[in-house]
Amino acid sequence: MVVKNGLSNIVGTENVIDGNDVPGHYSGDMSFAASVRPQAVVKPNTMEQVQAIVKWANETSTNLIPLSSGPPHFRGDTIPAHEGAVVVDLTRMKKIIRVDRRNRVCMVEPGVTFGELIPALEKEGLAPLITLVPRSHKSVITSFLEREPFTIPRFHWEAQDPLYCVEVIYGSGDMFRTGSAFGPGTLEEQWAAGRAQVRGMGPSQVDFTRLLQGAQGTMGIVTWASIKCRPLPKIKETYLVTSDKLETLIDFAYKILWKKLGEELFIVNSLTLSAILNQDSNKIAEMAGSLPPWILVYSIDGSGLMPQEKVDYQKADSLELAQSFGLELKRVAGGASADDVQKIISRPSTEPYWKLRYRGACHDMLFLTTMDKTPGFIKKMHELAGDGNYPADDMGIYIQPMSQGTNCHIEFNLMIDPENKGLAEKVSRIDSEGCETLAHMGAFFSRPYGPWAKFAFGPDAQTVIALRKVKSIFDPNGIMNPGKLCF
Amino acid sequence: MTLSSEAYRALEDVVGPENISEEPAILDGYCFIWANEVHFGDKFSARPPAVVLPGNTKEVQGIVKVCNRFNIKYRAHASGWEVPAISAKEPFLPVDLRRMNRILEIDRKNKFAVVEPYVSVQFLLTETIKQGLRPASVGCGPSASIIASSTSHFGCGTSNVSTDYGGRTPLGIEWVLPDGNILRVGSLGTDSGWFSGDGPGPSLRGIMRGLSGPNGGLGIITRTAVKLTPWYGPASIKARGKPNLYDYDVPENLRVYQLIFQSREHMTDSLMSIVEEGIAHGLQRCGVAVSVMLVTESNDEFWDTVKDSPPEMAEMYKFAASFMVDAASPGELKYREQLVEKLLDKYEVMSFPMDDKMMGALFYNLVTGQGTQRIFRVSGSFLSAVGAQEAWDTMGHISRRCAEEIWAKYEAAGKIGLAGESPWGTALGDWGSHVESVCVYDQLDPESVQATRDVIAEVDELLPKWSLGMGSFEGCLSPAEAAQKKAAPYCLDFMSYEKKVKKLFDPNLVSESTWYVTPDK
Ligand SMILES: Cc1cc2nc3c(=O)[nH]c(=O)nc-3n(C[C@H](O)[C@H](O)[C@H](O)COP(=O)(O)OP(=O)(O)OC[C@H]3O[C@@H](n4cnc5c(N)ncnc54)[C@H](O)[C@@H]3O)c2cc1C
Repeated sequence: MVVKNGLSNIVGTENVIDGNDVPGHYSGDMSFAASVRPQAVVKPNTMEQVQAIVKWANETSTNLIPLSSGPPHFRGDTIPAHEGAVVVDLTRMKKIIRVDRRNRVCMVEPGVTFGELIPALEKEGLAPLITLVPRSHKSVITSFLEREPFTIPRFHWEAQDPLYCVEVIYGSGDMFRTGSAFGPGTLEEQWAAGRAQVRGMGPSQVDFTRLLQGAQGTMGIVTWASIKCRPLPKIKETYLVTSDKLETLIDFAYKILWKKLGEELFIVNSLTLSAILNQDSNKIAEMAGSLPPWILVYSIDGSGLMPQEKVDYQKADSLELAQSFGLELKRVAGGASADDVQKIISRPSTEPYWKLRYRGACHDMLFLTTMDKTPGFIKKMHELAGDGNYPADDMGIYIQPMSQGTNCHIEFNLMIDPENKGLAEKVSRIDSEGCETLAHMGAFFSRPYGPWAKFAFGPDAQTVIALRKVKSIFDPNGIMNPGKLCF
Repeated sequence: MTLSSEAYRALEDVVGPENISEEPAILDGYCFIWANEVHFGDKFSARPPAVVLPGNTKEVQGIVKVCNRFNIKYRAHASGWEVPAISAKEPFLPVDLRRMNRILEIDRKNKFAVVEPYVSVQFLLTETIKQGLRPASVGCGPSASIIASSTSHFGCGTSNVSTDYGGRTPLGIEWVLPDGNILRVGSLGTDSGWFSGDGPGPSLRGIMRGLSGPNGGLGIITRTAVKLTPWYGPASIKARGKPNLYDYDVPENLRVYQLIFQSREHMTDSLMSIVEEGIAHGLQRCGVAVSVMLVTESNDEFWDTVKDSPPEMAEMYKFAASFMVDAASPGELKYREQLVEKLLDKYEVMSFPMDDKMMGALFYNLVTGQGTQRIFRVSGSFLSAVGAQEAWDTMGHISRRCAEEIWAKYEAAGKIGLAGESPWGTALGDWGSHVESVCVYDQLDPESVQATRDVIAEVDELLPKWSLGMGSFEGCLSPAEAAQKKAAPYCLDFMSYEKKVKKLFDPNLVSESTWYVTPDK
């Protein structure tokens, strides 16, 4: 009651849920994180309210778990590690503060989803950099705060992209703006001076944005962010390049990246592509069976002053390259049409979320490596699946070149029937034990959720010491999402 | 600061007697740096008590531990081209990294290289272009250290439009922290390789550097992987002729342009278009005078070339830029050439006619940043009066307002030279732009030195009032936090966080901090 009153004073009673009224999805998610019910959920609508909540939490020694996306959640990072926490649900903060076509940047609040952002950008001739068919309630900001990869490596110059500046309420209760947004002047004054909050680095000699990325809400609560966008293509051609051999597609991808051709570029296995394209589990199985095992999705945007000419020369160069690898740029493959793929990957997922369509639930394992090492990891995952009696055919695989091809994200989607508790247990074991095996092989769990943290931080005491120093600066009382990462 | 014989012996034990010196003749080599007189009133910086030259990470760590034990202030020294490598009021121990000069790995497929601190941009460029790749260039020219540019100082240069800002290129990093512990940032920390610098969890690259690095004020970086960018030119770049006016042939799949714009707006619009189209390999904003400087051997020859130009011409060439298109295929080259024609038409841009010599000089400058050091030729020294990084329009506003409201009166007084509204600038990746107006002055004339101080102080004062930025390169080049103090009323307080970083990561305050942040005691 004390908690409810304290929070209601800040956001109004209607925006606080407590006790048994807290919906189950705040207590547990699709991950194997133990279910812990927060004592309350609070839904602020302004930066000032968020700040007041954080100050209140410091005064009352209450742990806060920030959350910006709607359910389902997958990674356990928004599930309290301890009893008594309050979830700060930011999904009401839905303002698209600014769309700046000239500088190709937008500024949004944390509750804004890709589905909401796309039309607003389109009106101005822009498109978002979008993660692979995100779930419909997924927050744009948290996608990039968590360094989720997006599908166009050409625009992913480095790990910070596409996030620029953010406004944050640190765990200390202080409001700060990172990058060039720190000042001088108010945002309005900065805009009048031609500034566009496009520089994530800084202010000065610290990169405050970078210290928030990958933090799983352990440093503070972001209340807006400026995010890089891309020109809306005037024309677009998408191709499916298929092969039985992943290595061939990887070599082709390296070349495309070196030549800086095209836009969307990623590799999926047949199950992932089929799950993205189809709703029904039978259809998913059917198409997965008729597709070649590996599909590289590749598209060329026609934008700028000579859109058609751009597509024409890039298509010719890509064709030549494909032929040199014995590959084809296909418009249709195994019943999948490249145009359908393009439509689907340009938007968030329809319901149900594509990862849940095949078996009803899904557990992801994801890490960073380089593309040439992915076949080794895939082989190992198949072995782990075999050892753990998990049907490897139910495993989706997604390889996304990042940092313009310097490294890549690899994701295994272990699809499971939620009713099959035995199988879920097996997957849980694969997850915790497999993670160790993969880490020993060089998998870099750069976003270590749940049990992965042990292997991401275990061998490296200095990183932990350094991160704890950082944490002590921004969240001196340790109220922000304790129990996550190495905190 | 002096060094006790015990401390000297401890350092000697780490690096061996041949790699430490307290010979005055040697030490004086670590005292000269441009612009010291502006900052600290003396042409020469304070003579250090000794210099040490470590050969590997272990030795760097050993030195840093000794410094912590004996309370010796130390600062890393790469090629020593930049003011914060040397300049200080009080002496400190330079840790000269010249023995750590190896390229450890070039990963062609994954486009990165692993280097030690004394690997220069030129060395890495020479080796990587053989493999169709290149590092980011830095505007001071290719003799500078890759590590200094990408981790410890700024890192903007003529190639940034395709390579990105140097500060955004580090991947895995090995870092001897100010207290002597070794931090391995990113994928290196878990022995996964060098390919990523961010994670696990919050990225400690954010402590390593922001817009600029800590300028030696936060330990020593001993190895870094840097991202490389495709290079479509030849496997080697041949120079002809003799120093300092080499001739270069522009490779057949590259095109170089010197553009003259009709107005500030035309310039900004066209440069933004070039960036958005993603066709440029190199781009810099600079007047035609800079191109003329590249092809003349002396101030006299330069003056002979330009003195008869009508004044309207100088005015006309105020808004100018050079840029270079590259192409991985004949089809791409054709498309890009046509696109440039269209852009020139659309924005009514004049492409300045160039002979082969100028074209070659511009080509090499756009690849390497080689020409910028000629700024020293003008009057013996220079200092940038303003430098900023944000959206393109802001850069236009900064150069206009500074020229009209600050430079004009200094130019009229005649003690320093400023290039009016014709600064130097670059594109930064596809996201923003850098602008920098240099002030050339006479080191031997106290009034000229004072005018340089005054102009910088005025920028520090006015830039925040105009909401255009913070002076002295956002405080990264402002000893005693002069710019920060002037901007404080207009900005959110970042200094208190930075001071906490300094204190937590350098508990004994031995990583010399003149060019980082004065720690709270
Ligand atoms: C004419 C001229 C033009 C310039 N133009 C530009 C420009 O356009 N863009 C730009 O970014 N810079 C510019 N500079 C500044 C500077 O020279 C460069 O940024 C360059 O990177 C410095 O490299 P260096 O090897 O000389 O480093 P140094 O001068 O040796 O060091 C630079 C700073 O980094 C620190 N440092 C060096 N190595 C390490 C290390 N391993 N670990 C920790 N700290 C380290 C030093 O302590 C020092 O504070 C210019 C300088 C000149 C003289």
